[in-house]
Amino acid sequence: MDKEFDPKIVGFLCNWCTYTGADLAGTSRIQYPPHIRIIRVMCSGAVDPTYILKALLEGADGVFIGGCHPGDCHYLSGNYKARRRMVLMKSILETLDLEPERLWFRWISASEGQKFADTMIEISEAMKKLGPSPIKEFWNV
Amino acid sequence: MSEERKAGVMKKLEVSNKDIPGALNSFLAEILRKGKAGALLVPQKTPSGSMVFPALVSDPEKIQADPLAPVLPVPTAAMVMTLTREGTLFSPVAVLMRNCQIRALIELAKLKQADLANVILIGMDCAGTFSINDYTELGPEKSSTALFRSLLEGDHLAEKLRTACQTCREPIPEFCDILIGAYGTDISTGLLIQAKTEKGEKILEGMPLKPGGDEEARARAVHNLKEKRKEADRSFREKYGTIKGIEEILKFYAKCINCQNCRRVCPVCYCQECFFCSEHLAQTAESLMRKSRARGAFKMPLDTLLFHTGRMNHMILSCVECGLCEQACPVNIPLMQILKRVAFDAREKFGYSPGRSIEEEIPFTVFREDEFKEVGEE
Repeated sequence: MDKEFDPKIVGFLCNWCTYTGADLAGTSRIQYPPHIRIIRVMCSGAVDPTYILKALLEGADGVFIGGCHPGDCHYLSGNYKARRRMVLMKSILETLDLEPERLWFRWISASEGQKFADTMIEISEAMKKLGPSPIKEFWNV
Repeated sequence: MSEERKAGVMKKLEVSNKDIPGALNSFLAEILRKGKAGALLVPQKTPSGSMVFPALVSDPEKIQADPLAPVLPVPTAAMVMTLTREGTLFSPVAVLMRNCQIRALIELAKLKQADLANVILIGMDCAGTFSINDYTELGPEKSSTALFRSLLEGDHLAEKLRTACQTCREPIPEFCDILIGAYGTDISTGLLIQAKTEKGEKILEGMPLKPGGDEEARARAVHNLKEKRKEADRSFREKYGTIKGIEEILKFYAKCINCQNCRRVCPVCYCQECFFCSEHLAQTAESLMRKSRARGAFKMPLDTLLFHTGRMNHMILSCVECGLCEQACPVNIPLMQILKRVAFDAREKFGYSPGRSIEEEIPFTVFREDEFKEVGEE
C-alpha cells in the first residue's frame, strides 16, 4: 500500500498572536496534523518575501504566514504591510503560474488555539489534495 | 519640483543648416554661461565617437552633448541619485533625460534616494534606443541625427530597437521642468521647447528661442505614437504569456550565471547592499552537503530563481520597464518577456503606476486599513 503523502509546510508565525495561538492549541491538547514546521518571527510584517520564496523553491509543499488580526498588530501596522506584500507575492506567482495556492495567509490571535488547529487541518488537506510540490523534481532551481 | 505644475507656451529652438546637435549644444551651453545651472548632466559622445555616456559638464567649452544618439548605456536616474542621495545639491544641475529615466528618478525621489530640489529636469522626446552593440555597429555609419530621424519616422530601423523601447508606453516626458519635443514638428528647422514649471520658465527667460510650434500637430503626433505603443505593449505581453509554470520558467532562466548585472544597472534597485549579495543567503559547506543528501542533487551557484523572483518582489512596483536589465545581461536572457507581464499585473492590483506622479505613494510605503479584505480571511 502506498504511504499517504505527508506535505511539508513551513509556517512563519508572529510572536504575539499566531505563535501564541499555536502554543494555546498545544497546551489545550487540540489535535492537528503534524505537517507544519514553525518559524517564530517577531511580526508578519518582518517576513521578507524572499524567505517565503526560499521555502517554496526549496520544495516546501506549502507556506503559511500567520499574523495578528487587522488592528491588533503589536507594532500597530506590521500586519497591514504584510498584507500588501502578500498581494504582490500572489500576483507574481499567479503571473508566472508558480502555484500561488501553496501560499497561505491567516489572521489568528493568541486566544484562537482552535482556529490555529482548524487552519492547520485545512492547509494539510488542501496540500494533500494538491500533491507534492513539482519544484522538488528540478535540481536546477 | 513640488511647485505648481503649469505648462508654459510652446516655443521653438531654431535649427540652422539642419544641425540639430549644434542647436541643442548652444542651448545647453547658454544655460551654463548664463549661470542658470552650475553643471549639466547630458549624454555626451566619447572622444572616439563610438559611444555616448552621461557626462557631468561644468565648462561650456566642453559640451559635446548628443541627446539624439539612440542609446542608453547606463541608468541616468542612478547618476542623479549618486549626486543627490546625501542631500540637496549646492548649485543647480540641469539633467537631460529620457522619460524612462525621469520616471525612475521620480520613484527614487519618493524612496528618499534622490533630492530633486536643485535639479533642473530637461526631458526630451525619446524615439527609442538600440542595444549598445547594435548602436556601436550602426553609429559609425549613420549620424545620430540620421538615426534619430529614421526612428521618429518609424522606418525599418525601428524594428532593431530594444524590446523595451519598441513596447514603451511613455516615450514623451510629462514630469520635467523643460520639455524638448521632437514629435509633431519638422526637426530639421527646429525643436519644440516648453517650460513645464516655474523653475523651467525661469531657465527659459532670456534664452534665444522663437515663438512657435503647432500645438495641435504635436498633440496629434503624441496621441498616435502612444496608441501605437500601447498596442505594441499589449501584444508583446500576450505573445509571451505562455512563459509560465515551473518548467517553462526554469527554461527561461536556464542561461543565468547569477552575475546580477540586471540588478546592478536597474535604476530603481537602490539598496546600497543588495539582499542577494548579503550574508542572508550564505551557506556553509555542511548545510550544502546536507541539502545535497536531502534532494539528491542541486545546481550551483544556488538560488537563481530565488534571485529573479525575489528581486521582482522587491522592485517590480517601481519598475519603469526601461529594459536596462535585459541590455546588461551577458547571456542575452530576454528578461522583459517576463518582467513586463509581472509589472503589468502588479500595477493593476495596486492601481499604481511608477513614475506617473511625485505625489502618488509607492504601495509598499503606505497601507490602508480597509483594503484587500479577502487576504487572510478566506
